[in-house]
Amino acid sequence: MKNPDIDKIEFSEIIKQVRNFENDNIDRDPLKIVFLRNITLETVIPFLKYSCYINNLKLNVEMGDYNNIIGEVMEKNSSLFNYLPDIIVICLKLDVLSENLTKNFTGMKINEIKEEVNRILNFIEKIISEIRKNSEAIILLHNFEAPVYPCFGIIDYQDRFKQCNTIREVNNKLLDIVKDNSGVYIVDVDNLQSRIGYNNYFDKRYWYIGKAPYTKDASKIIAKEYMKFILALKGKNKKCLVLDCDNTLWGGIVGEEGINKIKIGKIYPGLAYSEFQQAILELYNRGVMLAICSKNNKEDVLEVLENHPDMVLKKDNFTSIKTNWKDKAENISEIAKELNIGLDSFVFIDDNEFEINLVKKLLPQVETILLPKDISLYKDLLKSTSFFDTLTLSEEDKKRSIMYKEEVKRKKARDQFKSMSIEDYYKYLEMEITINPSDDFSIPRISQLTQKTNQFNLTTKRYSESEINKLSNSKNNDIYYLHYKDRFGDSGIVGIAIISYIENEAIIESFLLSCRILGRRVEDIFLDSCINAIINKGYKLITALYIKTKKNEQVKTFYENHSFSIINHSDKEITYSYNKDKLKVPLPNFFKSVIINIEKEKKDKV
Amino acid sequence: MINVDKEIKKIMSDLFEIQEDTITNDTSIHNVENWDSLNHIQLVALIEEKFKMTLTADEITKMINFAEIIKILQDKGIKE
Repeated sequence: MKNPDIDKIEFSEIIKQVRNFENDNIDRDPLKIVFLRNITLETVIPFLKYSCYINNLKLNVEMGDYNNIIGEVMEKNSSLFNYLPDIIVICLKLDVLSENLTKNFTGMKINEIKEEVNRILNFIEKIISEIRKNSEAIILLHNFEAPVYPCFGIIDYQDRFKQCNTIREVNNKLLDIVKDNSGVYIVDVDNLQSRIGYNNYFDKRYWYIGKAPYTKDASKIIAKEYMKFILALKGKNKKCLVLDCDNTLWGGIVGEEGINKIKIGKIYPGLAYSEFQQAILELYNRGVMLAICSKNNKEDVLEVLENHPDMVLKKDNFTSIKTNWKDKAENISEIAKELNIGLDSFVFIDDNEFEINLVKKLLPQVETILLPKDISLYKDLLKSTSFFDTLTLSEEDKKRSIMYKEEVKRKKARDQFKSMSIEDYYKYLEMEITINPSDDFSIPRISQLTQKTNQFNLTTKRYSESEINKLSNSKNNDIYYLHYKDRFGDSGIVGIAIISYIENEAIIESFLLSCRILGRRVEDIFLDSCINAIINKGYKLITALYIKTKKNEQVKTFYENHSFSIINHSDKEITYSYNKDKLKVPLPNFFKSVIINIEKEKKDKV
Repeated sequence: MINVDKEIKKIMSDLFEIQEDTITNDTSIHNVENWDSLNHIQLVALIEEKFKMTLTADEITKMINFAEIIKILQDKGIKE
């Protein structure tokens, strides 16, 4: 029995099944995907994992840090490349990538808009060319969802340089990137949004709460779209479509009603069958082989195919025609032998449940589509399947395009790559850091970060808003937060340090950074500033803690690497003391600005 | 009638991989290891699927322990 696909199964069941699959020790074809993203895209993963498992693929996923895409692609030894991914997904949400094209659009002049469009395109080009230095993985590039409520209202639609059309223009220009680089494919999320509708697509709640914009339905449809690429990449796309005739290709039964009475043509119900045939013809034109398998007299079917004026599909479109009274499983097996392709390359369509069940039972490798009672649903049902997608149209096209692209790359490499170092890139980012003591305004975010941050979190202590409020106003504590922005956007508050003072000792209770900005050495500046602040307050003894969790292995040696010495060590916890004589890590100088406001007079309210 | 307490415990136990009978009013995002922000999204999706309703952003950010989840569902008219 085949597992149902993600549209036909509850979410709770998907989670359960994925867990079962992960522990069943069945040997599956491995597939590795890296996600480079500037938003929370994890909601897609359960659906994607499930879809892979039911297609006999074992999916391994590596999620990139939020908003550190360039950092990741520019490091030769980054885990991104060591991971040897088969697929790299680039998902950049425009709201994060460009405030100018989203929030600030009404204030932009035309030349500024053009500059911003170029900046975005150059950024994406840069990511892709860096990836290509180290990896030949398939790159799936999300395009941008056009705003459904553009900022100039109906005026917006009248002008190429207003918001909606500007974003569409960016999407169109992404196609030049696809053309100039091999193995890059657009995931048209703008189209996915249209397919299910904006309100079903965006989860505004989680967008505000956790930068997770996609609803369950959106996550599902995005996973489904990825699957089309994955199945094509793994060569699991179907090659032959086998069709019934009566009440499938046309309405009525030709053997009983005669060729003149069957329903096909320009008016209902014939129109629905015509359009269904059109969709089948599209598949034929994309290289899918067609076959007929029906219980009819051969002469009747041939007469329709050859002589009915309204038939879209003609005899020549079919590679094999089986019209007889044998069972359909037997016929399909014969077609497979004739064409010399595996049964797992077949899709069988019929309006008759009995026939579908028979084929399912006898030939479980064959995919089946049972047509619904309502003929108006036929066409979209076929068009929505992910069976037939391929990454290129034909072998010839593929070779031609690769050669073309190689030549373009050669030319580009000559004049473009004067090898920018990663430090230069950081400069190019124009990173701006501000460090402030906590204030009433920042308390909710500080509390939230202590609760959400798992990886770059030295002690993983969680604090409620009221706890933070209390510490913030206490003379025995200081809380510092770090605000980050660069040319691609404002990340807001992304780092927290909580310090408590007991007698002559300062203890760093908590030190964390959101994974959105990891890998840009922001942490070095932050820790250094905190230590200076503590020393300026007159404390000489500075203690810091590392508490081990499942997720914070990466910061195990953080204090050790930053002028601290171990004074106590157990399995779960390491205590450090600041050692001013220990060699300091030189502070990076590639930040555009670092502003530190750590002086604060406190009225102790506690 | 659905037993709300029991259903929520079942969802939490399946999702967070904890024993149902260890779940109390104080079981919260702070003391359950697998209850992180991503699993919280899934928890909300599962609760919405089970009780066929939609939670608001405020409710989502408040329901960080068992007692609060039950209270929010009650306020929405979902009780045994």
